[in-house]
Amino acid sequence: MSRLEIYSPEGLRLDGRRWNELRRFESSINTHPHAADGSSYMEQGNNKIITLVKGPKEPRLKSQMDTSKALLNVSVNITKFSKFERSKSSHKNERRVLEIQTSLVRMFEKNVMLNIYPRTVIDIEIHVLEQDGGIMGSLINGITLALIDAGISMFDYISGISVGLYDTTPLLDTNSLEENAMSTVTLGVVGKSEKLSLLLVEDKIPLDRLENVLAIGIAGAHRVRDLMDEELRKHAQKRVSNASVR
Amino acid sequence: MSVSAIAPRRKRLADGLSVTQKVFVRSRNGGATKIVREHYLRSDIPCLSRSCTKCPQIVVPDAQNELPKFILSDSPLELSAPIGKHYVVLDTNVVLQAIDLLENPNCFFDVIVPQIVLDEVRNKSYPVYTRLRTLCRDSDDHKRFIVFHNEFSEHTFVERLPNETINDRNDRAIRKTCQWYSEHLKPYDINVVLVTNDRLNREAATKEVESNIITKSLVQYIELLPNADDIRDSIPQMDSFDKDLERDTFSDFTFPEYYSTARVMGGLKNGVLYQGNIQISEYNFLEGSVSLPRFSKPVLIVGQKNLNRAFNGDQVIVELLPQSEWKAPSSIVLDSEHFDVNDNPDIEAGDDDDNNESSSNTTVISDKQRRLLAKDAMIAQRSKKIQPTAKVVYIQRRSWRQYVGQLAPSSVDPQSSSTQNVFVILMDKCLPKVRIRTRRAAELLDKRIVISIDSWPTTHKYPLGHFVRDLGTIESAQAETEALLLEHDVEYRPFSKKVLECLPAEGHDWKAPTKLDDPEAVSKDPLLTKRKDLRDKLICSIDPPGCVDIDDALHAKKLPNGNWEVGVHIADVTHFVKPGTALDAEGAARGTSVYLVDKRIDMLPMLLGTDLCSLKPYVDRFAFSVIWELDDSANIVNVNFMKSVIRSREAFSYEQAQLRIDDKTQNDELTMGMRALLKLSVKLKQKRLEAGALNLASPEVKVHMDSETSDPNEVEIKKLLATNSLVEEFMLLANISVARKIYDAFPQTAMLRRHAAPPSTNFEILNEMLNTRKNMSISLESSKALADSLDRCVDPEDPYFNTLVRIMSTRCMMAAQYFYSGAYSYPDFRHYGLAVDIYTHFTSPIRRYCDVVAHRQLAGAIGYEPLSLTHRDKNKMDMICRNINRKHRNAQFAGRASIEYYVGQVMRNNESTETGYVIKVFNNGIVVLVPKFGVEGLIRLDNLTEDPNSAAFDEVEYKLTFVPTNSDKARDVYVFDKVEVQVRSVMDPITSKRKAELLLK
Amino acid sequence: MSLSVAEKSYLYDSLASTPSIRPDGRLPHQFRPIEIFTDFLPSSNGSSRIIASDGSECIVSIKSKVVDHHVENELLQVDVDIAGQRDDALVVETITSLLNKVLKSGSGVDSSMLQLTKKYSFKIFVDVLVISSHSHPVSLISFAIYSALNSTYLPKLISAFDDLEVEELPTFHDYDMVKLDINPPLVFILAVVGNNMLLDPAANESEVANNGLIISWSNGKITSPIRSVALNDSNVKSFKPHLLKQGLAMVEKYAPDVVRSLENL
Repeated sequence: MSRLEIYSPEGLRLDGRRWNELRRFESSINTHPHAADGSSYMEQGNNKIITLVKGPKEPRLKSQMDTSKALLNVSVNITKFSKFERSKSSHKNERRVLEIQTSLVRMFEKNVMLNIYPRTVIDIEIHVLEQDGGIMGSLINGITLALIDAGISMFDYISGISVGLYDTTPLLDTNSLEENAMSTVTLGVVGKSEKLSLLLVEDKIPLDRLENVLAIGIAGAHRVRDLMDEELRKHAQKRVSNASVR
Repeated sequence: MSVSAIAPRRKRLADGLSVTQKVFVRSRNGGATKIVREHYLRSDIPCLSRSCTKCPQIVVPDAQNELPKFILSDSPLELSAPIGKHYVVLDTNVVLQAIDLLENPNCFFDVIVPQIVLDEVRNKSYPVYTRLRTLCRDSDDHKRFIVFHNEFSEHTFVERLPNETINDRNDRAIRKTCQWYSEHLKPYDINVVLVTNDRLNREAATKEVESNIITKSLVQYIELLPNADDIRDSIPQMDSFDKDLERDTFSDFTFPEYYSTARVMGGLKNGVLYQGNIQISEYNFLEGSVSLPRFSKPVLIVGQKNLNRAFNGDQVIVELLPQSEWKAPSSIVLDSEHFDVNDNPDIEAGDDDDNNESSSNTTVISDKQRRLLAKDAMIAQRSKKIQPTAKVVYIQRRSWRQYVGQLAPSSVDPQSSSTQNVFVILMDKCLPKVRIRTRRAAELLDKRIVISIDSWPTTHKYPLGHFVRDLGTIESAQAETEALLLEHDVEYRPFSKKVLECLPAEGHDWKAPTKLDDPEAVSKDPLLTKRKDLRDKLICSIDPPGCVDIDDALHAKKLPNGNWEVGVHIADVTHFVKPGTALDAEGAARGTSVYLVDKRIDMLPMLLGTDLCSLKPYVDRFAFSVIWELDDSANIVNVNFMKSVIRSREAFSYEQAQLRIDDKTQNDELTMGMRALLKLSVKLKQKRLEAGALNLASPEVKVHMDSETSDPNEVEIKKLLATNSLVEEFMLLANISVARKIYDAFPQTAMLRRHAAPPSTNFEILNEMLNTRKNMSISLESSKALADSLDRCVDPEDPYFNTLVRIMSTRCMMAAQYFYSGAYSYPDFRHYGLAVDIYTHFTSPIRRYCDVVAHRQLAGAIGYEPLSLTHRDKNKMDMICRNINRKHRNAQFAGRASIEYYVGQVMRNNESTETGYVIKVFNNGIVVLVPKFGVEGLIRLDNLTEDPNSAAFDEVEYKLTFVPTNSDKARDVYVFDKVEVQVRSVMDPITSKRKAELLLK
Repeated sequence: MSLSVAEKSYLYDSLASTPSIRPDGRLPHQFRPIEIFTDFLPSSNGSSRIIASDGSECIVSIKSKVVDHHVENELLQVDVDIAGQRDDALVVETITSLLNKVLKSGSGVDSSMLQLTKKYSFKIFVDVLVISSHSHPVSLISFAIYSALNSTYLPKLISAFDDLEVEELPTFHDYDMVKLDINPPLVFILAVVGNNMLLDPAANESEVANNGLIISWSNGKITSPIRSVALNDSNVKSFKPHLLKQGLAMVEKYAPDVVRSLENL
């Protein structure tokens, strides 16, 4: 039983945030220009994630080719050292990781304009260097940034965020301590809309509370989108000014 | 070289919000893991002072959109300069040592609890943390306690300096908080006083250059208060107070030091130290035992030094003693109040009567040798006489709470009006006396008082405590009742305002809607349409006479197909007690109503218990109904559960119901129904007994009160009528049916009740006594075998003998317990006593919280309303179960203690000679049970004979031989002997406790 | 990257000529620029990230665990994960076993530095993640491991050292950490092209190399293992023994510089 004050009567969480505050969110793109066509590095709280996008490129096997659209692959590498306790297994073929990969593929298939890259494959490679809760949301954000860096057409940003429900209080952007103490949902939100391209509920959550949880989740995802947008624009500006100097 | 990891950088995220990292090492089970957590610092943490004009500008609302309340008074208590008007900041040590004092309504107003203090308190003692939190929550108007999150405020957060210990860093954080507050409040002319018992912290506060904090020790602060005289006695005693005086003078008695945590952990891991709860013997306060999973029997702990300051119920770590010190359990009776009566509370002399105790073996024993010892110990337990013994080497968790007792008169100097050290003898005779310092010793001499224990340093033979409050004169009914409620941890204060606010606003005028589809009523309660109207059923209730909280009612009706429709209707408490409300929290905390002889402590407010929920006759009431279709031999054909509205036609007492059924002239439908119920109940009981249900006994008595003076004047053994068993059978049936239904719907968290089969070791002694004395035995193969063998234990010459065996068997049984279904596997759900595979409590929601949970789960199971998350969460269910198990046990003990007290009062007026039975034989006394009063008492050898040395004790035969007073012929007393005893109530001159004294005739 | 026959021939000739002409203008003993970051994984006891100028990148995390050294005698374990390769791929297994050998061999890490008490020791887990590599990554990895171990801080023991007779579980200071003081070995790769030895071969140089040499360096001297390694699968030839000597001399001469620059991070 957890004896921590997950949400104190004074309205503060374990790490000092209030209920509706995001963790530190820092991202950069084009971090691995030699290694991949698009790349991003992001830190969301203590989640640290490298995302590489390779493609669109010719598939290694002809049999993998789809003449109408590009094929999207996602591989998530959760390193053995990503948690406080080192894990013995490499997580590569764990069911949980396979499920994460499948749901990420399904989600981005709907949001990337795959039809304009027929006969190609887009490989997305993610390395989770450190994790501290709400990892699924961070994966989504990392992919969105790396895809944009690779110049692959998408309909809009997808921003991911997790929300927990502690008794009756929704808590935005849960860290691992909070995640262990309550049920959480993860949202993937399309741009500034209220459209969800992912809703992941891995625990019980009372139906009558879900609306509240979704509302704060969507608001949080919009803030994440703005933060990503800001970073992208900054990056683009730098590139343009570099180019014009030359 | 030791360096702390690189100082985490601070990063500004937005205006008023920055982030840093907390890095620390978690060392657990010998491992060491580096942990990193984000830590956010903010500028919007308010001071919560009403006089402040800045903070109201910065506050932000919480998730419920509420703004923080500014609580600290704008004109706080004013003391003489330089303090003036001030707020108090507490240090951790003061909270841990003096939580009673903080709760005292006459001192400590406008108090700031820094977050770091709250955290430290939580890590050291969760109960104290809970009390502090409650104090902060409930003290809006009067005491005004607030928590200031200094760790999250960017103004007061301090970074740990290189090589600074964590305690020093935390102390510095507290001083920083004080400093911030004193600067912040300067414009409003309010000072801050840091109260801490840590001398170094006080010195540091004065040394720090920029600081101008006023610091006081607890004693210094109390002395400054205008009402210091009233409070001084309640200051806790820590080791440091008068140690200089004592250490020098008397150092011959010391307890062994406890082991280091590293050693305890290592020893537990490699199996040479063991952890368990210590149980002090009821008859000998210097002997305890600890049940350990690896040993088949509890391991003995004998003697003061081996017990090493453990209190009854403490969680302790023990180590086995060498084989040469193993011994048989003592057959001596020893209680603390008669032990070392002449010890002087001012000195800590230790008379070396315990020379046979482990004279701390100086040679180092390796863990390998210890493991061999443990093997020998397990073998020794299988044999009979010599038992392995152990010593306490560490106390994992103290069971300390507030205790009730009275001053030991011999330790008081009634002339003195200055502060003196005195002993307090506690009501619980398993506990040692406690030394307190008080100025009011003379005044408190004949009072029941509440004390709190502060510490037990190694150099002190007795624990140190402080006075909390007095309950009134000894033997006054009010003081004794309050004492026993306190001793059994029963919450008896009136319901708080917040709880009462949860009740229906209509109060006693609340009425069930006449029509269930009335749009106005439905708009208030949309679930109304899901209720079934059962007002046409001929329902009645049968309860003890004078019952006001009617939980249950019944009906029966013949169906056209010849079967019976039988309904059990239970008060719909959960309609009024919604999860998550203050009312629900209070009910969950109380767990059960407590029935004393002259008083009932309700679990729920009166309005619900005796009116709105109570299934009173002639009015419409909401109920939760279980309706079966039973065939003629009482087999269940069908069962249905529904929320309903009913109207009871009559409320019978057991006797009235019996008369009505027996009255041949009454042939109305209601009576016919009752007869059918009785007939069916007999069949149900028959089936139950065939399945092996036990019929155990306890010496229950009832105290009659004089209706005018309400003085107890008669004791009576409870009688059972057929109608008692009528109600009981259907309640059992309802409980079983509901248990199945909720387990089906919530396989992991269903609230159930189980009763484990007793381990054969429990019956060892009883069986041996039966075997030696009566050539009988009790079989433990199954509950059926047990029931049958109990039936065979009959002494043709003494009809009571069978009951006696049943009473003694009951004491060997395991206690039934509440649990959630995820905690055990299905075969372990079994209720041994009732011989059913699954069971719960559903039928008394007014007085038991288990039933409230079962009601909610059943409502969820039948789709009436969704089940609250709290009852679907294993951890939360675990907490609920633990609490109600404890409360249930305490309530039973409190009830028994109350009866015992009143029986004593009855006997006080009439001394008599009664028949008793010897149930235990000791080396120096016998224990006799007197069925008429349901009391048992020890008769010491000194009271049996004038020549105790001539007495002989035969362990094998359970025989004590002695020459009775006024006689010259030796007399043998065996266990199970029927004896005539003179019963009277006496006051113990030393403890001023009244108890039944028995004298053998 | 694949080169045409003509390109290969041109490249080989220029590398094999005396003095050797490297396509990026380096001298035979010169390294390409590398960037190293340490301590960027706060939840590990030590960490480093190394990026070569061609975009090869490798991340190393050091974690510790308390073990009974009578039961567990391997106090150091290296695990390598190369992006895009399965855990049981040949290249991963070869590199893993090589690094384990390097770190555990006699002159490798001194395991007495890891001892806590008579019964317990720290076990060090070195996890290597190669995000991308264009030439043989082992040298890069060894630099990363070196700097990660050099920035490793382990929890500080506060319980007694002597715990054999009367067992104690080790307990640690809540905050203080102790710097791990060991001198991990380094691994150098040399390409053999004709009669020339080249340190730190780039991808295109590796492609035309006749052979490769792996040479370990620890505590100021060359240690085992020393072995040859195929840097490509088309051009491998045997090499003359005097080249080995030349290679050893080269490492002996320049390794101290490398150590010095890694120390001064």
